[in-house]
Amino acid sequence: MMRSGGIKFATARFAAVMIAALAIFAARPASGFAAGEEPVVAAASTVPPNRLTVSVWAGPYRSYFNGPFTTVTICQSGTTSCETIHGVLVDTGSSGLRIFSQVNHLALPTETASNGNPIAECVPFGTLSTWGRVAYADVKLGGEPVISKMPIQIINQNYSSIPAVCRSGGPPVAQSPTQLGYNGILGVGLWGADCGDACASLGPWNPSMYFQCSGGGCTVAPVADARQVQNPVALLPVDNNGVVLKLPTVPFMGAPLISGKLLLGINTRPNNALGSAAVFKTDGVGNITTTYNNSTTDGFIDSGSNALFFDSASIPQCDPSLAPGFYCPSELLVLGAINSSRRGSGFGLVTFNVANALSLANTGNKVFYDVAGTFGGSFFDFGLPFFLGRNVYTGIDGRVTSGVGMGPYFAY
Amino acid sequence: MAYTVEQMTTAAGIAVNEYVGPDARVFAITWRGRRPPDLSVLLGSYFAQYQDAAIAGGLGAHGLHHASVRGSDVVVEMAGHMRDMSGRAFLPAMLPRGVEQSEIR
Repeated sequence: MMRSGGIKFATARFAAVMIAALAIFAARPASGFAAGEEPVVAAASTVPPNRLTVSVWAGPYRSYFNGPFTTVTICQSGTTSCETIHGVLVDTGSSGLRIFSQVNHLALPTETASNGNPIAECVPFGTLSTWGRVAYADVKLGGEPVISKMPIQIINQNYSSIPAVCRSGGPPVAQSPTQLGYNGILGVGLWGADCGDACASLGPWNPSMYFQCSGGGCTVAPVADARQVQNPVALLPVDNNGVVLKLPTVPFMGAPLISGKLLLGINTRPNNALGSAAVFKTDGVGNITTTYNNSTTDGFIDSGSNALFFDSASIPQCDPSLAPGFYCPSELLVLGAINSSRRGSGFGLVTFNVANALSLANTGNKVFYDVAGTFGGSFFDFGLPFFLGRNVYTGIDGRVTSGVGMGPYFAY
Repeated sequence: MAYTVEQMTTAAGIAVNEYVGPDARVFAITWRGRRPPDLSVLLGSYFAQYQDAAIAGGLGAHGLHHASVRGSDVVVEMAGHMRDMSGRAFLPAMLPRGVEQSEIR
C-alpha cells in the first residue's frame, strides 16, 4: 500500500476550482446531420465485407474534434433483436467494445463469476474511467460473420456500486454519451483481450480492472483472457490479425468532416494489403521507440487521441485559459521524429506538422492534421492527426500476418 | 539542490516519484505503470479539485487517452494507452524557486 503520510500534497486550500474550460473546440453547428447519426455516405454497389465506413468529425453530439466514428451492430445472442449503434469511437489505443447503457436497449445477459455473481469492469483511460457490467452480445462489424456471445462492456456509472479504486483511484468515471461526445468505444488495438494475463489471476500484478459484485459491493475478481472484454476483430474467422485505418488528407486549416475506411484484417484480402508499409513491432506492452529532438521515448500510434502529444520545450503553448495543454506556434512547424521497432529492424523518419491550435479552432473545422499538445509523459503519442493521409496498420498480439510474422505491431 | 526526488513502487507495481521541496513538502508526483496509482491518496485534498476540473473541462477535450487538467491549485496530466500509462501532478504555486515544470517528468 501507499504510505499515507508524507506523500500527500501538503496543504488544502479551498479555493474555487478554476474552470479550465476548453471552449475552443466546443460544439458549433456545422452541418445538418441528425443527432446521434453518422453522415450518410453513399454505399457502393458491392461493399467488401471487411470494410467499415469511418467519419472523422465533431461526432454525434457535435462536441468533439478529430474523432473517428463508425457504426456497430449488437444483438441479443441467437436472436434477431438487434440495435445499430452510431457514433462509436474507433480506438487503436485500446481493445474491446464498450457501449453506453443509455444507447443500449437490448436485454443482454451479464457475465458471471463461478459463484454466480455478475462481473463488472473499470478501465482507466487517461481522460476518464469506464465503469459497468460485462455483458454478452452478438456483434456484427460491416459485412463480416456475426461474432457470437462476445463479452462487451456496458458503460454505466449507476451499475451496482463503484469500487473505491475506480471512483477515487484515477480519472473521473464517465457518465453519459453527451459528456464524452460519443456512444461507445470500438477498441481495435494491439490485444485480443483488453487486460490480458494480468487480470486472469489475483496478485500484486493485477491492475484491479475486473470485479465481481454482490449486495456488499464489488471486489477484484480473476477473469480469464477469453472472458475479458474482447477486441471483436480478433474473433473474426478470417480477418482476425489486425486492422487498417485509411483516412484522407485535409487542408492546412482543416476540414469539417472527412470520410475514410476501417478495413478488418491485414494481408487477408486485396483491400487490406500491407504493401510497402514499414513495420514497427512493439514491446510486450505496446510501445515502439520514438526519438524526437535528441530525446528517446516510448511511442505509440493511437486513433483515440485527438492530437499529437509530445514534450517540447521550444514550441509555445496556448493560453491555458483557452486551450490548456495545446501548442500555439506563430507559424506552421514542420518537424521530424524517428520511429524504430522494438523487435526486428523497422526504422524510419516521420514528419509531422504543428499549427496554432487556437487558429485552427477558430476556423470552426473539426478535422486537423496539424494539432498537437504538450505532455507526452513517458511517451510520444501519434494521435489521429498522424492517420490523416496515411494507411495505418495495427497488428494484433499473437496473430500472424503473412510477410510480417507475429503481432503486436504498428505499420504505416 | 532545490528539491529531492524520492522513488517508490506501489504494491501494484506502479513506479511513483515524489518531488520534495526544501520545506519538506511534496510539490509534485510522477508515475508510470499499468494504471494510475491511487490518486485520491497521492493528491489528498486536491483530488476532488482535480476531478471537478477534469469534468468541467470536458472529458473529450484531449481524446480518450490524454488529459491535461488544471485546477486552481493543482495540475494533473496523463498519457498512455491500455497497458502502459504515465502521469504527473504538481502544485504550480509550490514549485521551489527556479524549478521549471519541465523538470517534473
